[in-house]
Amino acid sequence: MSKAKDKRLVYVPGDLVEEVKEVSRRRGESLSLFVSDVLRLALKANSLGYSPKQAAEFLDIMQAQRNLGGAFVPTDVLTYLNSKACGTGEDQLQTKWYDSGKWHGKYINEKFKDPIQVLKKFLEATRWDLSEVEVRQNLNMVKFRCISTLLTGEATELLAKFIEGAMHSIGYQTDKSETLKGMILLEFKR
Amino acid sequence: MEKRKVKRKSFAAREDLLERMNKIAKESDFSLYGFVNEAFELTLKANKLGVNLRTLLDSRELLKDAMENGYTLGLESLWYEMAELAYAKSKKNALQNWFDAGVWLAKRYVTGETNDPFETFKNDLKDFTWNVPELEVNKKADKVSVRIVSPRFPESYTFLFTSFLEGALETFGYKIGSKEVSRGIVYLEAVKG
Repeated sequence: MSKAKDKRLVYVPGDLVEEVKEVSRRRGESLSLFVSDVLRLALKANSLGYSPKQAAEFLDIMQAQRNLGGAFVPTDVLTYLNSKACGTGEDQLQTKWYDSGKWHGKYINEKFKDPIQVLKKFLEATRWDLSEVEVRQNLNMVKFRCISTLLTGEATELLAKFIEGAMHSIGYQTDKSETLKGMILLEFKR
Repeated sequence: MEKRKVKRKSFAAREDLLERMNKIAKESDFSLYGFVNEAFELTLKANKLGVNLRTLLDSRELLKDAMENGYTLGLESLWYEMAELAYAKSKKNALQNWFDAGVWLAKRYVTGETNDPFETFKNDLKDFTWNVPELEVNKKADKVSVRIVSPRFPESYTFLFTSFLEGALETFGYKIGSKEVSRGIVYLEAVKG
């Protein structure tokens, strides 16, 4: 039978030790309990497909999303709101998505060192209707390629507007823009 | 010059956890020390952001659940503005669309394999409305009441969201008995039957 509560020593870099002690003290947890909790959660993160480093990136994205006022909406409703069926003019919708992208881009540009990669990770983490998000950076050029088998033609165009808005706030101009149902191909230059 | 005395310190941790970490570290071409370091750095980073790791993992699971349950995450302000436009153009269509979305989502729970579909729906609804400061769903015998207070909801979104809830409640077999709706405030009472 395994002795689940047997202890072993784990080594931690000296510069983290004081911080670790401080956090556990503030939480009112014993150091031993706190250390075990950190390890258990790291294992759980791993079971969800994240290394601790990836989990840290995800944490940033989710915090940014909450700070920006992220909210869930039923996907069917979004499809309706994006469509011509709801009677809203195409231009009006595109402006809304573009402005929302600009706002998003402004925030991540000020908060993160590499806003383009953050934008990519944000799309990957929150737009589960995208099966592929590819970003290629080369000197002053950035290419976005998003693929989805679920997006309607209207939703594809609106998402492209959102990305354009975000990239414009980050300091890029649109060089080429092509959207097909479920496919966004955008090129930007600084 | 002062010499740095300590580069590493040791803590006692549960052996079974360390063994599992060691296994993962080996599979990922990491040293156990490297893996443990990252775990601690992540914890400290989360702490600086005012959240704990459990919250992070809950967020991950929440996103996964939202994806599986037919929700999309985006900016609240954008949803409100789009809803406002649609509501202004065609109130009837917009309300019907939200009602249908409520029916569709509730149907998933009703026809799913959970023991208590309504309880699952209620818990998910609370999770997926993290932007709503007050949301209470109470079920007593044959009655259900829903109370929402969300000052950021514009009038249009309040009515649309109410329609969504009505669609869901009707699918669970409830009939709306009383309804009070005004900008940012919803109170619904429904009876089974």
